[in-house]
Amino acid sequence: MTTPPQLDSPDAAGVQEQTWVAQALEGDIVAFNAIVERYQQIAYNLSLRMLRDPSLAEDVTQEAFFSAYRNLSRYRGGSLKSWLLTIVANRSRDILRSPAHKRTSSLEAYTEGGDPAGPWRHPDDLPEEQAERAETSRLVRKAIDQLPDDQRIVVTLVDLQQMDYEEASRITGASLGTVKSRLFRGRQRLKDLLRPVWELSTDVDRPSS
Amino acid sequence: MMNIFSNRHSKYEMLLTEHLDGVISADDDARLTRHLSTCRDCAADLREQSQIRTLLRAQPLVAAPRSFALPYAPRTVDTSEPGGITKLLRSMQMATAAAAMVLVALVGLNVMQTSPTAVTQTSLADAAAPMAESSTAPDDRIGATATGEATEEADGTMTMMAAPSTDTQFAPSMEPFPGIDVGVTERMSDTTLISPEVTSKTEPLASVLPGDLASEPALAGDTPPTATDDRTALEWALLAASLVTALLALSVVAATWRSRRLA
Repeated sequence: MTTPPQLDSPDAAGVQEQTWVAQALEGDIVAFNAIVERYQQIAYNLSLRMLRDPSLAEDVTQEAFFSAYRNLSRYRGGSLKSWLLTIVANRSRDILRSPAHKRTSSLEAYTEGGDPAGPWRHPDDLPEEQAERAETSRLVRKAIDQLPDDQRIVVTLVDLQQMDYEEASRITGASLGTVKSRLFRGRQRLKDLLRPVWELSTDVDRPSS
Repeated sequence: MMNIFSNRHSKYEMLLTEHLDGVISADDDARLTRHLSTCRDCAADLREQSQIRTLLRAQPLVAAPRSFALPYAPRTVDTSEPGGITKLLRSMQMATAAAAMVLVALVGLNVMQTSPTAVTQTSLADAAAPMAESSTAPDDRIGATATGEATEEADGTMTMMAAPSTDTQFAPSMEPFPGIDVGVTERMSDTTLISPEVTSKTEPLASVLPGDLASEPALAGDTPPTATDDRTALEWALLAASLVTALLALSVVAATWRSRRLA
């Protein structure tokens, strides 16, 4: 399998992506899987934050990459990341709107599973620090999950995945003004939801309220 | 605080967000700075939102639970040129549409031929032909019925009269399948089918028959094309068109199903 090379500049990464796209269009599944390897984490995280269900997010991510391969001839250049995440966002949105999902999501609580301290684990951390970071991470994710769908996707794209407004606008299909407005309101709401985190976090200054 | 902020300072929402994300213009930044110097609520919101933003951006992404690499190359959607099964599907759909149009035309033709007036004329013509041939068509149901009546008046007067008004029925009401089994209908009513306008006058047959049939008795061996022959041909055409249309429609459904399954 082709291993995604470590590219220093975004331009070089873009050139490499276009090469992979061209090869994938000729049926090279290995080249396409190099693209998958590069973007699978952000694709999964976007779907996970939108759907709030790890199992469903896994399915949607896999379906999105299948769909991307099948429709690769419709990719018209530009940001491949935006194009892929648009597929993920659309598929996740379809599921969110489906009556079946609305029925089950109101009845079932979900847990993300896995190692709760995973992303925060550091070899030098003391066990108490690891536990504290894990708890902060859990509370942040829980707070994000309480946002309305339209604010949640914008906060996920701009703050968690650190995309710019234009990319978020393309992926969500909303105007730039709408993206900014949703981002402002999402952050405002998170500010109230994350009050407990200020008591735990040692990395972030406590807000003056 | 959010509602108060939204009401009083909503015009600064976007400027605050742009400022935090570093995409604000110099003019807007200056305007926001002037506002913040006089508005403690907005200043507090800016500070808190900045901290939230920092916290969120410090969150690592959740690790993907597994690789999403594709195990095989799925069938791709070719958007450039329709080809293969798509072309076949399109041509089959066109053929189905054409066959359906032919079917509709044939049905229309059949309906026209079996309309009340047409049935009357057809029945009379059917009756007249075997009468002239003197029972040369024993197997023909319509001919057989009419022949029995016509041979009794072989003297050529052809005074086939309409039945009394109580027995005279409007043809379609007696006929469960118009145009298909006229002979049975004739036997059921025990009369010649005549349209209402004709029955009201009780005219001699000659006056209501088509000109060549009324004036020129058919010669022996000279079998004119009868309505029965036409109807049979039409029925065969209808049957063939129906079969072709059904087969084509079935093929289109099967091809569509197959193409979706492959996709």
